[in-house]
Amino acid sequence: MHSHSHSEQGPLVPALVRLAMATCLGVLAMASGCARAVLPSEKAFLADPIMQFNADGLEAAADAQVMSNREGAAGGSGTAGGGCGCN
Amino acid sequence: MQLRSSRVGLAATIATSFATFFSSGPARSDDQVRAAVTYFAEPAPNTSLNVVHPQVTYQQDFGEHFGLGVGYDADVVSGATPQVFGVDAVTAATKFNDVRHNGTLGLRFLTEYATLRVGGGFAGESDYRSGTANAGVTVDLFERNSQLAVDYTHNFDRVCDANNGVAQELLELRPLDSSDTCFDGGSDLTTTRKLAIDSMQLSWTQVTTPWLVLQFGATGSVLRGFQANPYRQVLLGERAVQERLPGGRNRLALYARTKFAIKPIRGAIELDVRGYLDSWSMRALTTELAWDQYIARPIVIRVRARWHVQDSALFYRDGNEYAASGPVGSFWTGDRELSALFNSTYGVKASYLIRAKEKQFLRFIDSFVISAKADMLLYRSLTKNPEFSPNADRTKGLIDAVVVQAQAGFDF
Repeated sequence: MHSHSHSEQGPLVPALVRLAMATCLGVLAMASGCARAVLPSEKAFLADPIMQFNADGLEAAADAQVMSNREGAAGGSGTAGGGCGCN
Repeated sequence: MQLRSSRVGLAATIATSFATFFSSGPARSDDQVRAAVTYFAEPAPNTSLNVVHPQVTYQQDFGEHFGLGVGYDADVVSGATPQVFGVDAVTAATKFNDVRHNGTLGLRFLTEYATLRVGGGFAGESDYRSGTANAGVTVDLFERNSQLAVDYTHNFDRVCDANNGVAQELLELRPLDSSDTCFDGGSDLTTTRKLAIDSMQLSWTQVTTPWLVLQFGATGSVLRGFQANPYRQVLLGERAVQERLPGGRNRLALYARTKFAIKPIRGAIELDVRGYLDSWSMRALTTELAWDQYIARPIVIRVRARWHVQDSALFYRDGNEYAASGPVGSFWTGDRELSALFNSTYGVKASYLIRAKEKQFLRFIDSFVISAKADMLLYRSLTKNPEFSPNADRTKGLIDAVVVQAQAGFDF
């Protein structure tokens, strides 16, 4: 029988964890410092396809297909849409 | 058959795909047809894998309050794989071919501030059948600066397995040799196992400023039933035994994403972070960075990089350890996705949009879009003995795998 100390991850995990934490902190800082009600007249560029999450549904689905066959994690890829306020 | 683990893994992303399919873009101008072909290749001297993945979708709104979407995709898979995990992959590789078909149908009901989605689908291949039912809602809040989306998916899956009814103990479990008699009620060689999957995704999108959009949320899924690859064997001591995985798995992914507009140059940066854990003691962290840039008005170039690192499942062992020391408890696997690994992806995509200026093309088409992309995928095993990790033969080159996709479509 073996213990569960089975991976040799070296510095990769700490580096990615630091990157993730820095990202989250940066996003929160930007959000808290700049948040205000955005007017419809200010959303022109937000409605552009390049500002939409998962704008290409077929590509997102094909990516999910590939990654699910190579990684043990799943989910958390977000939903489509963005800032145009045009649900 | 080799997409077994993909079928299970993909189920947790179906809720996302469902929401993606029916909620991108403005509600009353996204009547569209899209077609794409994706080619995936994982070259190796003896155990290569090739997948061709065509997709077609049609989506249209009828009136102010009703929309319809229909989709079809397929996987045409060919390659070779080691028959037994723990045995020399080169000499024990066996060839395979399979085709999977998948059809989806979705309806959506629109109001001024909300969209309700319901749908379902069916996927079938020689040894696996999957039915899905989805429901979801998206609501605009706070002067349309916030968007809440909730999606639920249930999978009714059936898996073909070898009939191991006569096995007296776990070490006598034999693999499925062939799918020829699968789903044939009169055969004693095979049996049908069930897998039920419940997935729920919660997402909040927030317009923070005219140049910054945030999205965060969670995806949870509960799997109950047969999740192993029935063809795969693991060498335990001197005995090759069918892969055996726990019947239950609970998964949770938390994510945060941001889109940052760079208006002066008409560009946008996206940064995604995802953390993952499950009841098999797997933990993972995924980060993606992408840049979209208009080169000229109709042309967008996107470059992206993605990094994924994960720990191994509680019961995973390298092939030589299973052979020398046996399993941990009563579960054993030869699945690469359950091993500790580091994956990275680097890609580029070009899109070209042609809009009708005065008259519509063919009197009903507003715009055409074509795109092409290429990704290269790198893999690094983080196990103690990478040469004894699953599919080690596929990972000896500089580039582990490539993905190429071409897409075309029109809006009307």
